[in-house]
Amino acid sequence: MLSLPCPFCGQRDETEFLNAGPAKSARPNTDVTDSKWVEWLTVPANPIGYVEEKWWHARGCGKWFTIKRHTVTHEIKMPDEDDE
Amino acid sequence: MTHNPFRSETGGRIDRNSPIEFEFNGRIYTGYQGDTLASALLANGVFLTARSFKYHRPRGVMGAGVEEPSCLVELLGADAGGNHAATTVRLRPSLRAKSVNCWPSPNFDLMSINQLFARFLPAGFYYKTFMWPNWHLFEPSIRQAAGLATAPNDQIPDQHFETRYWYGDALVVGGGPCGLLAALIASRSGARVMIVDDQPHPGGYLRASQTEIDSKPAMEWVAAVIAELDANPEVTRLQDATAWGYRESNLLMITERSPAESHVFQRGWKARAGQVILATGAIERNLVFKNNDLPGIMLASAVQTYLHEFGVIPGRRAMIFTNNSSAYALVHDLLAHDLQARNPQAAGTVIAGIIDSRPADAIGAEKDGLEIPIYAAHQITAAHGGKHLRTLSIRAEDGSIKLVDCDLLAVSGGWNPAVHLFSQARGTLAYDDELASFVPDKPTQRLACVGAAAGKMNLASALADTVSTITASLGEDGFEIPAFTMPISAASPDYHLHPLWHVDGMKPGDKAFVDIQNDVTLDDIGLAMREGFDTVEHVKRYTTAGMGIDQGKTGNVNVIGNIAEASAKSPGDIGTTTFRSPFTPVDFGSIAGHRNGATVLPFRHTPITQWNRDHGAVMYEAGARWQRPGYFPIEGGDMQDAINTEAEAVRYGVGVYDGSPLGKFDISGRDAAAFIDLLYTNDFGDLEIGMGRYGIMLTDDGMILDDGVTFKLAENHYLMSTSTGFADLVYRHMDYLSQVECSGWQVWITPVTSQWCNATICGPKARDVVAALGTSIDMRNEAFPFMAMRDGIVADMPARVCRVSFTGEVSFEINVWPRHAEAMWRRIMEIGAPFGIMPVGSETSHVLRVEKGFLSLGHEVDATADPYDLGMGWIMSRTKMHAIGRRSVDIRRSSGKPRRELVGLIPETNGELVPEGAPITPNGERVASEGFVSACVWSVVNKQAIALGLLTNGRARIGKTIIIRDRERMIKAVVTKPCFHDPKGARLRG
Repeated sequence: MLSLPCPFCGQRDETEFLNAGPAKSARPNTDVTDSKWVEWLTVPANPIGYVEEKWWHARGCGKWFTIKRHTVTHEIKMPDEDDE
Repeated sequence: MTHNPFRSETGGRIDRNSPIEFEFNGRIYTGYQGDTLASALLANGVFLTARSFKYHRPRGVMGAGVEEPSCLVELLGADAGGNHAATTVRLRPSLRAKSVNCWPSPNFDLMSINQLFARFLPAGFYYKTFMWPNWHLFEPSIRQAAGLATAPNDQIPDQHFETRYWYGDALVVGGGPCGLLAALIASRSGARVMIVDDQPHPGGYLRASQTEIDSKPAMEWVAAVIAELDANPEVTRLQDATAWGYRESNLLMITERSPAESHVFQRGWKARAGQVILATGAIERNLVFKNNDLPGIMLASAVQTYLHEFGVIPGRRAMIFTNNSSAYALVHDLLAHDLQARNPQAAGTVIAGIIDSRPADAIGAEKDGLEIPIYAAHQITAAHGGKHLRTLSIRAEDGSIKLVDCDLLAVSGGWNPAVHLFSQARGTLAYDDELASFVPDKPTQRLACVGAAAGKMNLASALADTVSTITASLGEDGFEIPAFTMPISAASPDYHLHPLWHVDGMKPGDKAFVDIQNDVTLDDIGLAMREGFDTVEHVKRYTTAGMGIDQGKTGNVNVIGNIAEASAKSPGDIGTTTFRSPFTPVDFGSIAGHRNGATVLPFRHTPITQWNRDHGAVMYEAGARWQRPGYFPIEGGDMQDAINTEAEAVRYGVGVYDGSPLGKFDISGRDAAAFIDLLYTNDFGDLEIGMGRYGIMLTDDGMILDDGVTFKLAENHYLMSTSTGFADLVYRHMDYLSQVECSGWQVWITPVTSQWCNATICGPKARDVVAALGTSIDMRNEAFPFMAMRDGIVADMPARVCRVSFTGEVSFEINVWPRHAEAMWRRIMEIGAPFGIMPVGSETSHVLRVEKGFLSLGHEVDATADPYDLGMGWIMSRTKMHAIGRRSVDIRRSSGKPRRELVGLIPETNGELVPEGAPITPNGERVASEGFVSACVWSVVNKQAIALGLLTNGRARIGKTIIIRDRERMIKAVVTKPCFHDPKGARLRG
């Protein structure tokens, strides 16, 4: 069980949150090509290293926020922090 | 005096004034308060206590704690449970236990015939043999033969499980000398500390040794430390509690087996600490020689524990077999115990000698003062005996064999640091040549290992290392360590070992076990490697070595050592298998605690629940844990009769149902209209105030997320209704959009599901009933048309009335505040009685909507359907390419591949219903399906069974016959339009 940094509530247990998958870049405009759309929709990065993901403090303040989580060590950083 | 022939007259920490009777395999024995089941059995001279997993060989107790690989028991009675190591079962009155893996008893076990066929049961035997026609044919009988215990059926009476959380600065795992010292230093620095020890009493290995600290018996030091820790309110000390799982962010899973509160059977802890100190000690490993599993062969450390903790010496004539210096302490302790004097009833226990595989010049100070035979550079080639050890064959360096009689053999193959938790925390391990074992290398979490767990096998240096480690790590967290006097331990010989992965000169077929619990022999390892399974993970899976309940605590490193030796590599190059939680078996109850049944996800009720129950409703769980009436049974009729009666009331008279669970959201703000526009695929821009519109919202991948009616209350103010089951998901979807993607917008989303309850009156006489209730609203059709919404007074209560219809008949949804809901319901039933009003359950709602072909999420909509598939292409606005999911629907449909489309089906069954979910296959053949039945009901208007289904290219096949397969039964059905009642919708607008 992770301990997650809610921007409003501070470190809280994972059981208070819902994971909402990878954080995506901004929604493409309607004039984007089909292949770019499919890529945006279905091809999240899956590195050995940090991924950006969305969490929802569903059983807390309700805040949606983005963190970086290391896929091996589960180390958690804020999106503006360096990977190292 | 109880008859404990192997109990010494004094010594041990048992309470000799409190004898306890217990039952084992149907016989009554006596032990003492403080015993384990294992120590009590040994004291009674019960050595044959188990049969092995595969060959059903006779086995006895080998260990003294969690490492026990051999003697598994099943507990009977109130707290029944399977697969406990007898060494971890505390003796208590009325304890009843039996051996696993044997029938009828370990002494006379019918399955022991397996031994005769042992050469036909090699590694991978099951994989190779039980393949045709498939494994599942053989599985039940193999599982029966493999035994292990049966799962308990009943709740524990008068006791329950519970869970607790703990947060603090430092969490120490292990109550041995280094763990206690770490906890002591941490507590003095002002930190909030938890110390967890899996033994009932603190002290760890000090309890099983004669060591002194500060020139006094070590246990006096332990008592002083405990007194100080217990006096500190910031310290939580758990005894008889195992930290069995190391999770992310320094979270430890702990099961406390004997909480102080008598009503708590076990307590699960989730403890999270700023730093974790692992002082988990080390586990002694076995030595690999022929018949090394005979009862009477035990770990040297276990014999020491039985001697010091329980006053039990489980043999009369003892030998020691070791490859290291640590086992000599046992000899010193046994001699110091002055055996002859204290065990006068018996013949006394003599030590026949020490067999040390190391050369004479490698044996150091540990042998000083011993006047017993030491066979240096000797090895045991085989142990002999039927159901108990009788004789050993010992081979000298020159190859000469000597036979020695003994009934107790204490073996020590060296010590493995207990790195399980460290490794679970994703720390890496390194092979240490001196220890011939794996030690912690790089941690990935905020933790430190101290003492034997860190490979520090000498007490004095381990204590010093503990002080420096904990001082540094607490310092990093800003704690100041007050001046501290280092405890001084007595000097002890250095730990020294020569690896001995197996004895020399074994022949094929010799049963020399590397994993006692899973009956894996040295031969099996060799076979696996010859057959190409030569990495440690493959060997583990092919032979099952290390996959038992003990997880190979005494055997795994021997497996690795033997793989390394056979492949001429270093064990460090072979590496370990993955250490997984739990470290020891855990009761599921201690993880769940109170969280079972409705306490995990509480049921939701409307204010009408009690009325429903009072009127005999059969209650269903319907969508998102709502409790709703399924149907109201009628006298002299079955369920179908009841449903028909309710459905006919709605079609030809009037019915009412409790629509309160329907999801409802109040959406307002400057950008509310734009937000609605983004969510729904159809246009809401021209919707007038006071009117509602049906809409469908999609997920980003173009599947239907939900459907429902949204009313416009005012400019930029909407009331959205969603399906009952998906309301929470829709809220999440909208909240995500508003916070993340539309963060600059002004939209407020307020869930009001429980703020509005409604009674939906439906049927041709619905308007008459509302009028009879008395209302301020103009109920004429032209004043209050279909899909309109009006605020007013109904039955003297403030109400919001919506004209929507999920039944196909004229419907008025009377929304009121929850505090008025029951009163409104009772008034409706009272005023409606002359009109023949009937309460309607969810079964009938289902019938009514199937007759109309209305969608139900979870039936027709299953996350593979888009609106076109359901014949609702009209809801996909041509101008709204930005609506969520729109793009994905278009891309998918542009492929032109055939889709499954919603159709009606009339099965030729003489009225019998077809199971929902039944597949439709081409010509009824046993091939991939071309659709399925999504719903099937008895239609009261058509007087026949009708169904809805999704069928490939279904709309083009209307009028044709398809075949539904109900297992082997073929059911013909005619494809129709998906509407069986009032296709023009004249009735619901009426």
